[in-house]
Amino acid sequence: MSDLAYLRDRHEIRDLVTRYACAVDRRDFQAVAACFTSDAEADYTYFKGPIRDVLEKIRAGVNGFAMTMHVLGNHLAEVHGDTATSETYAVCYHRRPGVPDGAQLVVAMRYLDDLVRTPEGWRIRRRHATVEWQQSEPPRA
Amino acid sequence: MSGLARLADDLAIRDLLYRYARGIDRRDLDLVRSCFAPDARYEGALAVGTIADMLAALPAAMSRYAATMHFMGEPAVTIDGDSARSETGTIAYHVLDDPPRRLRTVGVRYDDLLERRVDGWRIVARRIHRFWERAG
Repeated sequence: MSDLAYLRDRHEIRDLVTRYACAVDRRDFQAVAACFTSDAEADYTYFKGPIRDVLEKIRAGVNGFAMTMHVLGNHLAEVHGDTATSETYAVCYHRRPGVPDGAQLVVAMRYLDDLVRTPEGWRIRRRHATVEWQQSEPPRA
Repeated sequence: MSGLARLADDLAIRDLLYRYARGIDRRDLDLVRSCFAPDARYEGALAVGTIADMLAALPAAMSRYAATMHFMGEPAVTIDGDSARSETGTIAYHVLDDPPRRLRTVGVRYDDLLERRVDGWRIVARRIHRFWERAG
């Protein structure tokens, strides 16, 4: 693989993972679904299964909050031809509806993804979202 | 240096910085060690000396925590041939064993000097600036 093709793959994979996070926060569930292959499987610790079931859980979960914000950090990926693996750190803020500003649930996760190159670009075909820590209603500053 | 080589170096350095965090957070001392030149200088809470001093202090420090997450922001990377420097703001989350599941959060910046070695980029000097800390 040329340097250029490698850099492009790495960039597209990072974009894909970021696109997922933005789509969840915008509640654009069509765009969320487009990040996965149709036969993908996912384990989000709190729920797992075929992607169509998991997407429903994500939709119901996100819609239960006044807002969510997924902040992504560390990202590492290894590309092997038409498949790849990646790990991405995420700190996810969820504000509950009907409570004062600041009352929120913070969940820190690592997204461990198996990815595949499709004619439409890279897609996630397996995701394991581990929960590293979580915190409810942190103390006010 | 070509634009393409510059991009490849930039990505390799970012990967190196994130591999360090992975090594710490997974308690993989060999992975942490592999990010540094063997004689790298290190100046932080764990040690002031060399990377060997830091690695010697790491297991005891880590044993206080159920988990850590070194959440790194965008590194500012400046490359000059076979040398580079980077600055990376990082929020280090420490999940305490006692009391269980309490968080200790520390805001730091890693100031790194890096060199290209035969087997890739390595950190040759790291200085850690500590900005804030919060318990709770």
